[in-house]
Amino acid sequence: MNKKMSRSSFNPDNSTEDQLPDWMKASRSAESGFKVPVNYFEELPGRIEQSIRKEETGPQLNNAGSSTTRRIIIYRIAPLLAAASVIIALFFLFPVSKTSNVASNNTNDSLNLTASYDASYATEAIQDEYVLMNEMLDDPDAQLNVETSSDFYESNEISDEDITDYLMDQDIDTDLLAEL
Amino acid sequence: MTELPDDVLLRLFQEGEDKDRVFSQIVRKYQEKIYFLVRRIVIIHEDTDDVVQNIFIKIWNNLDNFREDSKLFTWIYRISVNESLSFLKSRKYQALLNFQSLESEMINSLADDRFFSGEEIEKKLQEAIIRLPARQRMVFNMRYYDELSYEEMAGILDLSVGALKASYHFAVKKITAEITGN
Repeated sequence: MNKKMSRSSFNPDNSTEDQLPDWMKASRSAESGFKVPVNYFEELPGRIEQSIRKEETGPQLNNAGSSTTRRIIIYRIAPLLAAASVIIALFFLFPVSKTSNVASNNTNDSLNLTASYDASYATEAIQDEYVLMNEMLDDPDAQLNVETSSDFYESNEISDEDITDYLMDQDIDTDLLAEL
Repeated sequence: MTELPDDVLLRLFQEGEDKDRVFSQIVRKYQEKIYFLVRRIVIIHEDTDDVVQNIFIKIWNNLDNFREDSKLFTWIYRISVNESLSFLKSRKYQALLNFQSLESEMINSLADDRFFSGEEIEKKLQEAIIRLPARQRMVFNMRYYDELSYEEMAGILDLSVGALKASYHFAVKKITAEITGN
């Protein structure tokens, strides 16, 4: 098939029916192996007539035309739709990704805190509290200190005299002072 | 029904007396020839059916303006060849989208075609014809199957008789080499 045919061997006048190989002459038929559905040629003129009527009554509704128009619309609108989709996607994706970043940062922080947490601190604190309580139980002065602390709060309570002095300093109504 | 000659059919159509009936006669006269001409080019029956209908719609739309510069038969054949080639062109792009060559798609279609029941040699012959370049294929089909003269083919394809003879000669050689392996 791919052998190159030399032009020198070509003589157009020889390319007549007699030059055909025998097998080629024998296998010649108008149908050449192709078949048609039953009654195809009986029905074809009627179908052609229908197509012509359809074409005449509504050429704008013709399939080929509408499909071409549809194709043009698709080709023109497709880039716009693609651009719009990208913008919408960016609009929705960025806040989500930001939030998710924050969330993940928080998670990371908490993970870091958890990672940096040293349980020995708690043990030390519990031990300190235990030692302090023992000291207080053993040492009466420590108990006293607690009581002193309570006296301190009691001694710092605001008396009526303090209120009267404050109101007088602020020139508050004397009737109010009388009530007091 | 007796078949009227082309010039009579044309005159009756252009005079506008019962156009539908006259056109129906033209369709009946040429439908088989056109069908098989197109079928040998586009291979698949359903595609052929679409192309044949488009050809006759074109003939209907333009027959009033036909001025007999050529024979009616030549004019109809030319429309058929052009429509078939346009269809092949569109199929070529579709085949590209499927990452296939049109030739291999056609050969596959031929293998699966329920309306192809040729013998093995006919199938091989069709496959070899499909592999020919478009012009050689057209020339081979017209000469081998339709038995048109080179002069008639020259009128249809707008090619010189010499070029047609050369195309046919090379087509026969390629097909023979493909089938016999020489």
